[in-house]
Amino acid sequence: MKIRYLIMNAFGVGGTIRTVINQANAMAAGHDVELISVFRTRRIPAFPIDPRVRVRVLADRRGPRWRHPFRAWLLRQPSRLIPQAEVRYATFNRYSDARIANYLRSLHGGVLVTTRPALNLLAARFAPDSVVRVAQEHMHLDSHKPALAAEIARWYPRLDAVVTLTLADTARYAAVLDGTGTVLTTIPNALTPAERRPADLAGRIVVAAGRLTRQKGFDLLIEAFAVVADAHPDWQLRIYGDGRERARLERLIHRLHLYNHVFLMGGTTALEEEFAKGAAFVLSSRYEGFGMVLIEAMAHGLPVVSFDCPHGPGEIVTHGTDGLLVPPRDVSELAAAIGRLVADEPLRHRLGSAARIAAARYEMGEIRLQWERLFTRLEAARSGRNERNGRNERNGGHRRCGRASPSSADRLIG
Amino acid sequence: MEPAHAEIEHVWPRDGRIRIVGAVVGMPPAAATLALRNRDRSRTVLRCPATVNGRRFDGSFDIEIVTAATTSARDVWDLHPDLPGQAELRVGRHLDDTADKKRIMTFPAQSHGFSRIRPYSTVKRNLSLICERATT
Repeated sequence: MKIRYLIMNAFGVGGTIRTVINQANAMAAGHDVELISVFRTRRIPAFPIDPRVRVRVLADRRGPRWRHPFRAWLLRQPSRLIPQAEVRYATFNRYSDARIANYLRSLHGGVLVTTRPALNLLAARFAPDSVVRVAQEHMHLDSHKPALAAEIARWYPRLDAVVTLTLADTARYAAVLDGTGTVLTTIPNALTPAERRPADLAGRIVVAAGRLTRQKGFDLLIEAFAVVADAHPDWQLRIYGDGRERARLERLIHRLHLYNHVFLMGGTTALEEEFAKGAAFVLSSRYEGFGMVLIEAMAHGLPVVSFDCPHGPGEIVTHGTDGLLVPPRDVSELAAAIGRLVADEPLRHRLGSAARIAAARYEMGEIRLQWERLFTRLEAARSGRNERNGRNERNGGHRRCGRASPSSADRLIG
Repeated sequence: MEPAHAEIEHVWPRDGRIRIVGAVVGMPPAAATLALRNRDRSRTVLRCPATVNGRRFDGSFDIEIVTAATTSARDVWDLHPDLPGQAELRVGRHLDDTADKKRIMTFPAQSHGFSRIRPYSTVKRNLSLICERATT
């Protein structure tokens, strides 16, 4: 199968970039995979790319301006194709507009996976019918501005499939895409393949990890841990990550006299090793896109406590089986749940082993299979569709979803 | 093997006092006082009572005695469990797995009059006090 992943910037660092590259790497075993990056911000990608994956850049802006004066001018013109409500609107420009539109029009056959709203919309508008167009949602529908949601409702019905990370988000999209032919499905992110040592559940360390931002709710976690440390003074909480809330959280720790029990450990590149030292993991987020860190902790056999916040934890954790879910933002419930795990080592072992098994659902092999099944199904549907269209054409009929005539973007690029 | 020292378990800077709870490591547990040595004027030493129970070490003092003995705008006091003939033993945290103590293990400041006193982890993973006087 020919699979193309279109991503904004394969050379940067970020959750979406890591996920898409992991996926392309996994698919490269057995498929013809191409990774198309709209932009290029450095020479070598930050995440390793399988040598079987071909990388192509559409709007490389490196090189002297004087040699490409027209390109330099286009690069400074704001995009005309990307809605302003797209979070990354300012990254795009008229040069990238033309390059992306031309590239999409040039395609024939195969599967095209697009990875953010801007690119999903362009694929819907410009990729020909012969291409299976699959849009990935790495956030959720509710996180988009209304103007962008309107564009999504207008154009996504032309896509072959929209894939979200959570069932909750699929339900939101179903309301928008109801009655269209677009296939709607949920495929979660896969675990990055890595060696994962089982956690030391006999220890006295509770682990949390994430950027120190309000979203992650570490302030709530610290308040909850004050109750835990009172009853179990030989336990400590370690929070891994950095961010702009650091000073505020440190003051909170001082004010609650938790400086002997709660530690802001800073960022680490070896989170796997730190998970292995833990006896429990806590996710205290106010909201999440998916909650990947929860799955990573579970893969180490760590029992988890998580707020049942939107979106993700409720679909990852089965309460009482492989972890404990507590009502979102409820500090006393969170403290009680952590206290339960701290006080009960057999419970930690029971939840931890179940968590390890539950996390296997997110192994790359498993997720790869889900993508393969989806692509195969869509390709079959497409060949059926093309045959019908072919008949129509022979009978002098029209092509489904005929594309608009070449826009100014085409002529600009020459 | 870490050198002999008093390994900190808890530091409690609160209610006008600073209390240090730990375990004596690498030497016979005989320290019975906690000495605060001024880093710049090494002959200025404050001694506070401490208890040793088995290997457990527990010492505390009023911040007032430190602020009263602080003469410059910014004085640093190093903490030692006081043993005859072994004056350079330190109070520190050496036996756990965290490296960047100065950044990770931080403590709040307490005020007394115009002075502020705060325990801090040194880059060598020991515990010291910093005492600052408002100069206005």
